[in-house]
Amino acid sequence: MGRLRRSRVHKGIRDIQRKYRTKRYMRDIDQIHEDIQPENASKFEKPELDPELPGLGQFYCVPCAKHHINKESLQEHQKGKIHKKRVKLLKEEPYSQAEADAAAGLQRADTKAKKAKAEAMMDVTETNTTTSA
Amino acid sequence: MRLEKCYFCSSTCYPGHGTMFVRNDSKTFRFCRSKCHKNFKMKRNPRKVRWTKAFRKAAGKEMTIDSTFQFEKRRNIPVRYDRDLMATTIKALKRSQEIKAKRERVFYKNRMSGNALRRKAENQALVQKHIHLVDTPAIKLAQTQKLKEKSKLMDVDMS
Amino acid sequence: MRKVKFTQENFDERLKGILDEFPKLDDIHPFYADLMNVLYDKDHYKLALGQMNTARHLIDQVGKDYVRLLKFGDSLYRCKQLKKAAMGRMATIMRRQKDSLAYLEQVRQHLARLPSIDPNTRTLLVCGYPNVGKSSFMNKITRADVDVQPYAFTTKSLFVGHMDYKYLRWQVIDTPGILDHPLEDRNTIEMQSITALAHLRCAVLYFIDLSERCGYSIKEQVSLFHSIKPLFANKPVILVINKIDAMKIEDISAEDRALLDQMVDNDKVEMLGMSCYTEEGVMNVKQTACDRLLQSRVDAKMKGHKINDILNKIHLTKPAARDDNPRLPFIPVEAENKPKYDPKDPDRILLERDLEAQNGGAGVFNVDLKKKYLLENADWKYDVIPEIWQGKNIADFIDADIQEQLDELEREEERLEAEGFYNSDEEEQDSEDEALEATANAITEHNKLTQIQSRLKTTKNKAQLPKTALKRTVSEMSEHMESLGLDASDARARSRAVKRARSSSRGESIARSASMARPETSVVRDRTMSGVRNVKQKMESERVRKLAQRMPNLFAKRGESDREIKTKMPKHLFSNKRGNGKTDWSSEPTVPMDIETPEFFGPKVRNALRANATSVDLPKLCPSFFRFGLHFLQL
Repeated sequence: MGRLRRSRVHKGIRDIQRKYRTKRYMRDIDQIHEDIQPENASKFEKPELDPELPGLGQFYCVPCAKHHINKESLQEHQKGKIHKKRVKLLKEEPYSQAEADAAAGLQRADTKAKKAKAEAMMDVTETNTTTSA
Repeated sequence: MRLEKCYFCSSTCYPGHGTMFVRNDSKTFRFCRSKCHKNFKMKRNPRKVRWTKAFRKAAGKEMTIDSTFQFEKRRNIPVRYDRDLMATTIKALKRSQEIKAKRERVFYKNRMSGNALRRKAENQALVQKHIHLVDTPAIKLAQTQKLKEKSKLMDVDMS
Repeated sequence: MRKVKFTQENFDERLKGILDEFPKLDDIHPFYADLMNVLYDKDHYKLALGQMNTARHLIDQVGKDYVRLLKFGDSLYRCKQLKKAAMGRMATIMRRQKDSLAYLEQVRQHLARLPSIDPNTRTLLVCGYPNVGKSSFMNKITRADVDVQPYAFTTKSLFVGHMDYKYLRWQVIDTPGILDHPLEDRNTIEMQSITALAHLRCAVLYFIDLSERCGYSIKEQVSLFHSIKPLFANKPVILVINKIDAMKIEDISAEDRALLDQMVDNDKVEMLGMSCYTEEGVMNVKQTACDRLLQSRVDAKMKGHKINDILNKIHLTKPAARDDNPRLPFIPVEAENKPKYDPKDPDRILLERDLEAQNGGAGVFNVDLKKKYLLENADWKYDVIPEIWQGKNIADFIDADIQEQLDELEREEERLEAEGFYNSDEEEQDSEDEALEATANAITEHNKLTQIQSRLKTTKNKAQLPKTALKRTVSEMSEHMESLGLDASDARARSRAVKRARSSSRGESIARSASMARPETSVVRDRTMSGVRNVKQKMESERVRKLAQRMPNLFAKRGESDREIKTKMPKHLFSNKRGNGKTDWSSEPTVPMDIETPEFFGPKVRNALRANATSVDLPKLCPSFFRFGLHFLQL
């Protein structure tokens, strides 16, 4: 007789497996943040009919990146806590690689400022030359 | 070859280490280890996870504003190699890091400055509460005196 | 059902493939259609294909019918039979098509071997009497390698050769020889030539052998030309006089000359002489033929309406010259004065290839990429550029005005030091504080210990009993009350009163039980003491039992109390369905239960005991015992 198994091991925990996989990758919060910008609003105004999506892709909740089967369902969802939470979450600036770099002490050079500085220098030299002339 | 910063914990990803995730909009994310990768996949916000650099910076646990930060930057300007410039750069790099470490130490000290007093007050409170357990006569005496003073004060206040 | 369906679909697919792959005579180019008619007989071919089609339909029908029947098949056996029948019928249908299939297979093989003639491209068609030198001509001008022999009908079918002229691809078709007799009398070999002549848009080269070495007189050859002339309509025709090395055109007799002239009279016909043997005039013939065909094709196209579309698209610009200034290409003076590269010159410019050869050749030599760096100082070219320092990218620090920044930082540093930014205002802990901290730590530790102990005391693993169920003695109670400073004498007296009342009631019950005849058997024995002599022995046995159990418990082995499967694989559950053979593995000879009757009873009694109760008259056999038994039943 072999040894009997004492208890379940963690391997079979389905939820964790699901959480970790990228197979059905949902839109990330920074992508959604871009979606809700007013200049991108036109993208979601008149969706095309897509037979592969729930509700033919006509009832899309942009903040939650979720398709609904009909108008009622969408409205019900928008009344709910999950949606409101998401909307609140989207109000803050999304995390980015730039922020990660900044936290590590590596900053992004503001090229605009640099350019302006260079131009200012140019101006100075020009004025100098003119005055000298 | 470049050393990248981890997207999640902002530590350094050395070449050949960690993972890179490329999202379907071709944005890349580098992770120093599987811990960070897993946390990313769980869609956690690094600002809310206490062990990341981003949290520490956002919560004011580390120095954020200083002139030494002006040295390390992604400048995105190609520069032709120059031996003298390289020499000065390395000198500046070492010196600036030294000064930065020094200032960080001061920052930490300032952040912790109130702790000693707070701790003393806590200790006193604890000892006074459990005065019956204390068997060192000197301390007992001192503490009881303090207690009395306090109660006297209270009485005065009351009256 | 699936099998039937599958077979039907398979047959269907295959037959359809056959039908699709074979060209339909109505759809293909008339040249091919005629050729196939000549070679394989149109009717036969169509019939075979038609039979294939009907077979396909029949099989479809059979499959459909049987699938429908199978749906209503009530038993597995019936279904099996239906399947067999369906397969059988399909097979029979296919067997009937054996002959036509064989025929089609032959046709297929022959078709595959036919030369690929494109009926729409530029084509030169070589025809004439047998053995006039058509194949030799073919060999001369194309890359084809046709068999040439000095007898008639060397060439038995169409051959195709390709050649290039004016950067275009031409195909030359060599036909078998034709004899001069009516169309109906021609054999298959000749008919191929005729079909080719009739249907291909081409230039016809009609070969004539003036030397009459082919075995046919000039007159015969000319008459053949006239008989097949209708086929040459709308085609450029060239009369090729072959074998001029043997007989010149000028040398022939007057009447033959007249015959030839008669042929040439027609404005479309052109007469040319050549000799395949000496290759005299071969190229001339080729060029003329090609030019004439090209001309005729262009003419035909110009007549069509499509040409306008193309002409509209073509626009040829001819820019007018602005002025008379010559505009010559600009060549720098250095480039003009540069000595021409000469690989033999020892002072030549060294190429990268030369360097490679000098430094060990391919595979050993490494290209020096740093050689051409554009740096301020040439000495820096081969510097090892540092990239990383203590987890930092050095590239991130490189800046043109880094020195200024550093100086500024140093100045700030000095200022801060002067301001006392770095002065530590750290206070040394005095002894009083230290003592206080030590006491506080001791207190915390003590508190923690007490907490742990109290946690241990609370019985989380045992059943919570109500207070009333706990066993308490009167003395305990009174002690506790006294410790609390209460008078316990009243409580003690009360409890005593209760006890007395209870004991009197027990006395009654004893009296009642004594009155019973039977003794009460409610005395509970201690089972653990059974089989052992004394407590010591019992302890010993207990110890041995625990010891024996220890290792199995440690390794989580199976114990006595675990569920056990005695027979792992009971035969009846794991053997398959029984076949047609023996059936007796399950019905092993069962031994009927036998009551052992003691020998001393005597044969009569033993028989009676073994017999069925209904067939033996027990009261008669032993009346007294029977009555005794009845008494027992009443009890």
